[in-house]
Amino acid sequence: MEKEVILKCTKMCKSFGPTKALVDVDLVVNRGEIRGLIGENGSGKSTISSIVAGVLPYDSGNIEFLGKPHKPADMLEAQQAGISMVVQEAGTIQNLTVMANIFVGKEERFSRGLFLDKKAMKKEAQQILDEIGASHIRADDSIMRYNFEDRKLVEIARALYEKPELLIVDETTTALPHKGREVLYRLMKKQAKENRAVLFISHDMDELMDNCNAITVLRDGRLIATLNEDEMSIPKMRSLMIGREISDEYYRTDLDGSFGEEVVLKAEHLSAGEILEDFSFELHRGEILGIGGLSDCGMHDLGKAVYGAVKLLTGKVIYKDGTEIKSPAAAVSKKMGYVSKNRDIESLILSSSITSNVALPSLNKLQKGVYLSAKDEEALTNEQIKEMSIKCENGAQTVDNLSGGNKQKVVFGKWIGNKAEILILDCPTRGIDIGTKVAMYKLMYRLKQEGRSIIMISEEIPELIGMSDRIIVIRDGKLSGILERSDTLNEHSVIECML
Amino acid sequence: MSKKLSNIVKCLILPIAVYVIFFVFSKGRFGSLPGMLAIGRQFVLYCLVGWALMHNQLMGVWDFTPGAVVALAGIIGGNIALSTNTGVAGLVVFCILSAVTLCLLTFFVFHFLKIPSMICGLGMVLIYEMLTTQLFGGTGVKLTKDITLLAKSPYCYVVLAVAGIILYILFNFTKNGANTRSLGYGQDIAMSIGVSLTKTRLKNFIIEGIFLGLAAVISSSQRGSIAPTLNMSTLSLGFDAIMGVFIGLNLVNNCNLVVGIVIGTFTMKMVSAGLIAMGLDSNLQSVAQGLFLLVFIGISSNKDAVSKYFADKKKSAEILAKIKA
Amino acid sequence: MKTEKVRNFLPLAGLLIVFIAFAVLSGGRNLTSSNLQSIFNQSFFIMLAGICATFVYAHGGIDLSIGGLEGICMLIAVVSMRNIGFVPALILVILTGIVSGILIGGISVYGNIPVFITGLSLQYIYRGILKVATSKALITVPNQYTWLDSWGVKAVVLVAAAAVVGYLFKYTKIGRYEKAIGGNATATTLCGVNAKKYSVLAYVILGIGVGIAGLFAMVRAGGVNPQAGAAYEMDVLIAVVLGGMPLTGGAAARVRCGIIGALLIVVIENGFVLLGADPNLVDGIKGIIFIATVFVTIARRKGQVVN
Repeated sequence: MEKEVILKCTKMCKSFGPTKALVDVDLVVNRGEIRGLIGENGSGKSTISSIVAGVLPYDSGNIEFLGKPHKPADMLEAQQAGISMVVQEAGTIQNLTVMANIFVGKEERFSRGLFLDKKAMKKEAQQILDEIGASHIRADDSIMRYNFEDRKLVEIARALYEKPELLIVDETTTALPHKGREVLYRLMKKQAKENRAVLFISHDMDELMDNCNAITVLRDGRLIATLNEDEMSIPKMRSLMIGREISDEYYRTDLDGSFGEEVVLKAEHLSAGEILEDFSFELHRGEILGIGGLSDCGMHDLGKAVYGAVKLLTGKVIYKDGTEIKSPAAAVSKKMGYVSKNRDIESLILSSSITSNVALPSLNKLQKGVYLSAKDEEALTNEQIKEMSIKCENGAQTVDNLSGGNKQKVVFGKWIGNKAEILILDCPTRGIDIGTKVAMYKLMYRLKQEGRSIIMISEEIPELIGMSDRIIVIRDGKLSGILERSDTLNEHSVIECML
Repeated sequence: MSKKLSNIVKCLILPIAVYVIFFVFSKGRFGSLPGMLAIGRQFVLYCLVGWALMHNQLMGVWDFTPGAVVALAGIIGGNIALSTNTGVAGLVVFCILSAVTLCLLTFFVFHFLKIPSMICGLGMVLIYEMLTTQLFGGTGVKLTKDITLLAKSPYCYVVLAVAGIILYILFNFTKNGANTRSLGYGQDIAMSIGVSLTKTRLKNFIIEGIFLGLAAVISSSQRGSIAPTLNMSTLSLGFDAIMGVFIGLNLVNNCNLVVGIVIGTFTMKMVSAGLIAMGLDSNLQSVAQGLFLLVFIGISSNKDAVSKYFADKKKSAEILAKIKA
Repeated sequence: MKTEKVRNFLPLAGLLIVFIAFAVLSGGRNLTSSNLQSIFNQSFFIMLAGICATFVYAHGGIDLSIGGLEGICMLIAVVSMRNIGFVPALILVILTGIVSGILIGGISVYGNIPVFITGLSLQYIYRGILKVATSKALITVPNQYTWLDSWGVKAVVLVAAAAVVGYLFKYTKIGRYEKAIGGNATATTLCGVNAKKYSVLAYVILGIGVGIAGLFAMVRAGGVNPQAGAAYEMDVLIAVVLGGMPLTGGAAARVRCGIIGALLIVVIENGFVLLGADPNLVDGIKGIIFIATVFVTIARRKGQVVN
């Protein structure tokens, strides 16, 4: 059958400040295709889908959709052109009804004169809900009555109401339980059968293999290759994503997963947040303890719980001298440090200087009596700038304009400057260039050898396998398995524990 | 009990309780028919102002200018109506036009100069109050008897009812009302979908202007005159009215916001009158107002946290039981 | 960055330019010693509160109750000075300021109420108490205390306040913490700083300053009346903003904002009055200048929605 082009992106470029998210991407999607899109974090897959769906503008390049130029000002315009998108995060509005959510921004379809015909709205809303197989959701109910999965279905109804020619599914399945996923697969297949198209973004390579008839691989903002049905395979995808064999000198080269005897931090029966339940573990001197699982398994809450930043429902965190860690202040006083996965929001004061950021946890120590010298702050900062090779003019520069990698170095610098013995890292290499990543891994290994301890929470399995002495896998908020460093440890064993 | 009935009960509990409490504690001085009618006349003004603020407040836009706008619009509208001899109709038209113009000015400063609404409001109040001392010879306005018709009952209630119906339609049955709710409850999501913040805010400020214009008519007619004001004394009108809006926002699960504001405003006016009937020094009124505002916002800001606290305690106990087993 | 340069140079430059402009326009009348004293006396109160408010504005807070607080402190001062003496009066107003700071800071931070609202509510409460207390009779201050109104004493007080606040702000961790909280309260808390405690501390320091200002205001006014302290909070807010203080606080906050801003606002007001402008106009002009200054100096991220 002749392949008919539905979407054609030519030389797409997009930057966010100094970060190049997309570089000369040429993407062609055909009718009848379920095109998978895969790449590591920061590869550009969400960026390109956001651009096509009207959420982001692009810097340069060309998009042709259905043969016409496509430059939507917002999602509504893109929808009118025939492109709808469903995302991973919550996209429904609280306190509104289901039907109000489905028709956000489009209410004028139902206007009679000046007023809205709510009856017609309800009828149309229920119709689309029934069509996608979500009849248990009532159109005039408040959205608050429904859980995350059902709210996602409402978003899907919103996207499919327009009968889009191109449906974009951006990591939606990652957060959906089994039933929701099945609904989505069925709808995607229907879309393809009706000679429309789907752009399907996911981390889950098995899912992509099962559902797609072509897969495009992105890496560092570039389109590396598009594999058609007979070329698609998981090893092929993986190698294209990373660009080299996994067993490269990216991570630690040693296989020695040993660590000290001394238990520096003990978590007993921790429960926190929505999911984490009865979680216990011990952290040893000189250990890199990896923590892995699916995104919502509770591992990010765990990081905050161990740091005292989140209220514990049960259990306690005990430092080696017997003190309970109940607040970040207590944690910092015991020489702990926390690197958040939301760097800009939780780890840095963007409008302040590098010095202000780096010296902040150490001010207590630096102040002698009632005198705090700016020189001491600068000295501590300059030391860290040197140690971490932070690319900047000097400590007075604002953090705002630094690259992702340099920002992360500032974050590390502030804890190492405070002589942290225990570091809790949450997705430490997210959104960072390769060069800085390598430097971070080297730093972590050096810290381990100096006898410090690291808890590394990560969503990237290769990183966990590459760097950890032990890996604790969390599934649905509970401990699912503890894996030890060895050369037979591979992704499959980790994934088995996760699912 | 059917859902509708239980909602009605939940809405009326507060005003009924307030009535009973003050009736008892004032030994019957509060709650007589003439007393309630007097409350009613006051209530019309504050309800109009609360309604004016409704759309903006729902979208997280604070406006401290209602008092100044009502005063200034009353002065401008009143003077023009008197000099053009256009009577009550003229008063209504010119007050509304003035108020809408002032609100559009506030909107411009707030939205296009990107000044936080609270700060913007404070600055604009200074400017509007100054204008009350400069325009029309700086003597405010004195209305003649014939033009103050709308202050008398039942006319003021007719105005209120008509305004209420219009607002109900605007809020519940127009696209702008839907957009206000979308932006109010989920600004980021609504904006990324493509709902226009500018257009919605603009319309909401115009609505505010119309209702503040009506309030200016009522206020000037009730008092017979408006004097120039200074020193931010006009802040209290908005402050009082916003209390009614907050009560309405809290009742939003039980009744429509437009109705909720009516209930809230009437309740607050009963509280004021009740305190006076109980012998409270009228100067202490403002103390009571301040306390009430603190307590109310304190409760509404924290009730989710409190219910979470108890839900967490229950969850902890459940998990601990599982651990022991 | 452009905003940084504006913030650093404009206020002082503005002050000089405005002063010289009025000198020219009024034919030198603003340079007479009596006028200069008038400027000093008026700016004293705003400056004192502006200096002490540095920590509050640095962490992105605001205190809208200080007008009522000043009134209450004036009341306490006059009653104490009539009956007990100067030193107890001073102690009492300082204590009142501390209590008020704990109230507004504590209620806002621990009660999860926007500090704007807490401030306005407390303002209403203080005003009500003041009105009741002063409605019985006008309370005046005994003559022996008029020495307090001399510019010498007040200058000493200002220098002392600037020295203490300036030291705490620049040479102790308190200033750093307040700026950090203003820049990003979440990140600061995760660095181990007790952001809530330091926020309350900022309001306590401001309260102390307002208390002392109240005592001096009472002596200058000769007593206390129901309008005591009216519009004080707006004057201080406008002053610090004119002086270059960023509304959201953070790294650009400086003690000098209160000092320069207070002089600037008073010089402007004084100048207009000297030129014969209607005194009622002055507030409106202050409002326009205020909004214009906020517009120019507010730090905005691109695409950020302002509510």
